[in-house]
Amino acid sequence: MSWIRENKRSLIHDFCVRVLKSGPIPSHVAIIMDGNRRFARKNNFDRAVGHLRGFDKLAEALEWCWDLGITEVTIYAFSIENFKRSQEEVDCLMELMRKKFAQLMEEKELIEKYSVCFRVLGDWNRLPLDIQQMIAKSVAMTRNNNRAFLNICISYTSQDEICYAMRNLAEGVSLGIIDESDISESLFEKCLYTKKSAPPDLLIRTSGEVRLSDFLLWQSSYSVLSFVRVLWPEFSRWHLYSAVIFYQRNYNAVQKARTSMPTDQSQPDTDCHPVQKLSEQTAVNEPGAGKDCNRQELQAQRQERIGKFLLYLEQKDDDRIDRPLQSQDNRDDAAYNQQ
Amino acid sequence: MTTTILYRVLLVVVHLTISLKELLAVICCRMMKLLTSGVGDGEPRSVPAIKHEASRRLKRLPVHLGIVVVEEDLHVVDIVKIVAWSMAVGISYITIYDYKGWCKKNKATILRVLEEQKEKMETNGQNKTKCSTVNNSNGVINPLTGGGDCQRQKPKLQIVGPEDGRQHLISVARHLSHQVLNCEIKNDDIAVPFVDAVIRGNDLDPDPDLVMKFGAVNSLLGFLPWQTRLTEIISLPTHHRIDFASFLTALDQFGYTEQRYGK
Repeated sequence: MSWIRENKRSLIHDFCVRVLKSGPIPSHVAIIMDGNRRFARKNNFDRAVGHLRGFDKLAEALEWCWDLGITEVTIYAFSIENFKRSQEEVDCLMELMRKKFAQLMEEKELIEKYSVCFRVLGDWNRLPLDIQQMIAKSVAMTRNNNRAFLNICISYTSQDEICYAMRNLAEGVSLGIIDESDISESLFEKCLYTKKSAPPDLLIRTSGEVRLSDFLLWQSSYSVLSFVRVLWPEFSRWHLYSAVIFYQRNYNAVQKARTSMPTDQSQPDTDCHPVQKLSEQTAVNEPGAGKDCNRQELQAQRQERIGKFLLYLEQKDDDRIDRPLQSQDNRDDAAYNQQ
Repeated sequence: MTTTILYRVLLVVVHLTISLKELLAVICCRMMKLLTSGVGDGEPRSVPAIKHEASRRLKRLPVHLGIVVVEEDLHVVDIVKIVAWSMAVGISYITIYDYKGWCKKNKATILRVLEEQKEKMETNGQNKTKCSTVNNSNGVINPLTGGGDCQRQKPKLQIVGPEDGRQHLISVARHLSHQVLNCEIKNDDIAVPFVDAVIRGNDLDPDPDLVMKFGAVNSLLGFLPWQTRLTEIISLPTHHRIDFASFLTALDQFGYTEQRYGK
């Protein structure tokens, strides 16, 4: 089945979508697509068939989400913990990834038509090199698309992602691009894999399990959590509609809780490091100036440092995508030269 | 324009219907409880009676229970009842959280009411025990409880607020950046096991394996994001006038969960 489906909605579904869209719709939905193996066991299929059906369901669900105006979807496709599964199953999942990313490259026109941006979030280095290259190509191919976004978490756990963000920040500090005191919740979020996305409004987990399993722990702190008792391959449009209604019923309460939350206390205006530095500099340049600090000047300096740091991170991201592609080009060149 | 209003009206009807259904369910549930268990179900029970009922009914217990209150209106007495029941059934670690940080700010009040609750429960069971609480600088309390032997169980209670969630992770990020800058650690050292140890500090407490979330908002509203990676989340409608049967039902539900740890 294709990544992008173009089925016409039936009248009843069209009607339901219109009714739902008269209320608040989540812009970003995260999905833990749980239950493929249990589905396979229930129907006496191989696990491979269960995972294939799971992908088919994903393609359907994306279409339903986009019908509803949900422009961004983040899915938990493969956890770092899943490498603990049997080699046979891991190989099967890797093979499925190869097929689906190859298919994605073939559907370039359709993807461009709907301007879908594919992002792959996770530690790519743990994946086979050929899959890294396919991922890099897919991400590079669609990076400028902007009508719909699909974030696929592969070789991902949230704690690993949080450590990745911490390493980025530590690198920025050790290179002197940012100051330690520049580290805040908002800057931290810009160092996560999900830096280009707003936090998910709604997180759906299928199969009846009621835990997050190391998925978007930071990002879903204030998301509506919907635990649905249906195996992922059996997830239907009606389940999605129910989840959206569930979101709408929680919408006002979550908005109210968010606005009454204490503001980001991790970065008070009077951070001692920049104040001290500016005071020292002022005392050297203008001995009579005393310890008077210009708060606006400090904040402007901070914004400048953060701006440079974000450009640095963007370059790192581009390198992350280009590196596997360069590696493939080098291999292709070597093979050509040998001939 | 007319069709837009029509769709909006229909959506409101859908939501009203669901609200009515939920209200009827609550009324039926309360009537059933009144008919089957009678008055006094929410009253303090003795510790031995609680232990007996828990061992009869529960498949397994969480090691660490998170009590997450997402309601605006907090009732200390009811929160404390949940804590006292948790201790009585034998849960070793209990963490209380509310998204405004009220519980943490009013820790002394909660501790005082908890002592009163425990005394009531001990009076009911006619098991007078000497119990003490020990505060440490992190606001963690080590009350002693249980039967005639204060040493048999030592449940640990802590009260956390939003500053212990994301804000604490930011403090850790700053601390690690400082260490890398001063060459105390390498950047590559910042991996999950290392960061986990830094976040925990001197505590060897396990992560919460169960969160009982009280309130209609279906979100954890900032509760310890790092520590909840594998936490089972069971929702209860409210902590107001919580009864022991509902608490036990939630624990019973936990007993049927199964962790696969990615396998």
